[in-house]
Amino acid sequence: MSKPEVAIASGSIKHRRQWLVLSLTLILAVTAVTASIAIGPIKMSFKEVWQILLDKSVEQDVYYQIVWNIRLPRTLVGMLVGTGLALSGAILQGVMRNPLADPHIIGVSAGAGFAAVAALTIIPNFPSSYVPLAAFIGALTSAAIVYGLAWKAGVSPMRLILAGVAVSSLMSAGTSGLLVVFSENVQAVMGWLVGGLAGRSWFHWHQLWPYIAVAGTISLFTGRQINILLLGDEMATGLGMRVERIRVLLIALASILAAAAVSVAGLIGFIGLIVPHIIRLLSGSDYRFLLPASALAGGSLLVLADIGARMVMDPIELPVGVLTAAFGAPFFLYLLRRGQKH
Amino acid sequence: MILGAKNLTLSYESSIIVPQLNLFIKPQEVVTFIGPNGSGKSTILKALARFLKAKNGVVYLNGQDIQTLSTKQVAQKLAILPQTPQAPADLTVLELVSRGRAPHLKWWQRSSSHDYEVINWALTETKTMKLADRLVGTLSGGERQRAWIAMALAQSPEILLLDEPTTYLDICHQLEIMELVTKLNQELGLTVVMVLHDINQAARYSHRLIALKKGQIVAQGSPQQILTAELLADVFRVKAIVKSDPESGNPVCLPYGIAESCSECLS
Ligand SMILES: Nc1ncnc2c1ncn2[C@@H]1O[C@H](COP(=O)(O)OP(=O)(O)O)[C@@H](O)[C@H]1O
Ligand SMILES: [Mg+2]
Repeated sequence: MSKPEVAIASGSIKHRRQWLVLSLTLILAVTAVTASIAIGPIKMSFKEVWQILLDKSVEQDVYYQIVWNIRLPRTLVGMLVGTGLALSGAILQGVMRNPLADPHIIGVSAGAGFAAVAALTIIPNFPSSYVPLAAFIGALTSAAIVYGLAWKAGVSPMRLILAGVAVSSLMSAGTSGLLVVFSENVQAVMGWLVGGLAGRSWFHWHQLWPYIAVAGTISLFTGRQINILLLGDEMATGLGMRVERIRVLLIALASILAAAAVSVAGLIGFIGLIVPHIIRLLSGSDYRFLLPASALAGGSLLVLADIGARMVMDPIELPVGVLTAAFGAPFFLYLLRRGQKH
Repeated sequence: MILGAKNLTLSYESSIIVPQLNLFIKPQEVVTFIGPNGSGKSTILKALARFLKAKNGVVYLNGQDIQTLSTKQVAQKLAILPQTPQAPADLTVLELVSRGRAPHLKWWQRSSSHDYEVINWALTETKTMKLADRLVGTLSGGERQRAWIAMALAQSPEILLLDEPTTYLDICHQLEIMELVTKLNQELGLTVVMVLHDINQAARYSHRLIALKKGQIVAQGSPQQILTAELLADVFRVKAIVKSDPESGNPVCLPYGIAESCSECLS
């Protein structure tokens, strides 16, 4: 006997939808990348973009320089940052079984912010190229503290959230304190705190991609585990899962992904919260699809938001974090109201 | 002994809920825990399913200390249905039941045709085949409980632990679940350890009853042996008439009032 009849019938409807959403996010990603390279003070057609990307023989061209040295790295960094945040959010929402969880909840952002600000304010002449490293270390340290505080013969999602809130508040207070005490440095810090992709280059790409590539690839294989975890700790144990071990692994992955993202692009809100929600609305909560689709959609949406950030008030660039918040917050409220009906 | 416990002491934080429990469960036996709320029934079931680590003592599965077995090995032998299981809102019955195969799959393996065979079988046994496409969240209480049992069956276990499988169901659906449990026990030789609130159902569908009070076994044995008015007064603090069911010979009890010993809990 092979698959039951019903398995084929039900599989086809839901599966077709999941694959459709995954394909659409892929198309969205390619479109977003192309558009982000094409749009700017000097406009290009999509066709020209791909000609320049694929044909190396035009290196002298000014278009070639714009694409390869300015827009492509910025776009790719945006893709990685969005991917990291969305994957991190999706994983944490699964681990916590809480749709409101996002990378900020485990203290990653506040930790990154505190470390970056501390480095820039306290240490004289701190080289700005080391800010991402400081932020990354701060983010992971903060996540580790949160995990440690939540630990008590295992980590319950509720304690994790509470510890995250507490540590985040403390770190944010510390950040504010530093900004007041060292107010002369505020300007240098502010740009990083608000979050953005302005001026992001191959340098940032090189810092970012190894973390996202490794942690991202591993996390794509955790879909089935998260699916089991969604049935509750007791059930997951009953189904033979080493719940605590898997949970540590998942939180570590989510922390690395988010830490890498915020260390390079600053505090960008809502991508990690909203993107997994959108995908869940479209194709359901099966994490085997939710993870890859969120990864692609997260990168795409951040890159699209960045196009907006560059264009809305041209010639002034808005930080992309402002745009993600401007669109994310209303959508979040919509989700809340929608949730209340059920 | 397929499942057992020796000097098992269970606690949450520092308060001891179950002191020094000894338990022997024979293969293909249907054993039911009865006892008032908070007497530690769920706690014992959780410990038998290795979810709750013992403060002291050992749980044995097929003669081996359950904590020394890998949780996956245990999951292939023993399935538990908690009191209030949870599932994502958009999970279909088929997907839920498929999750039951998890203990038999390595993380990189996809479901094989054998897995689908088992899933198919579990759906058929529990009469949930026609619900396979439905969302778990939209099922009626009885349907949902059968779907969860189907998931447990998909684990192809030897032992099934059920925590109050009939609570919240109307009487017909309660009996439906009990008949299903009996069938699984008789036809598949499944060992069943469960918690029931309805004493008459416990008496009718179990080989052995274990009466608990404050985490301790007050009496155990066949329903005929142990179900007496004295026991009900002692364990549940109710006055009851206990008669023998003329059809099956099982004891039936009819509580009609609160026992003297409970006067302090009324004030
Ligand atoms: N997670 C827990 N933490 C602390 N105490 C608990 C927990 N679960 C149950 N208890 C306590 O353990 C006792 C036994 O509970 P339980 O095993 O659920 O009883 P039953 O299933 O017989 O109603 C109760 O007093 C209850 O308050
Ligand atoms: Mg209970």
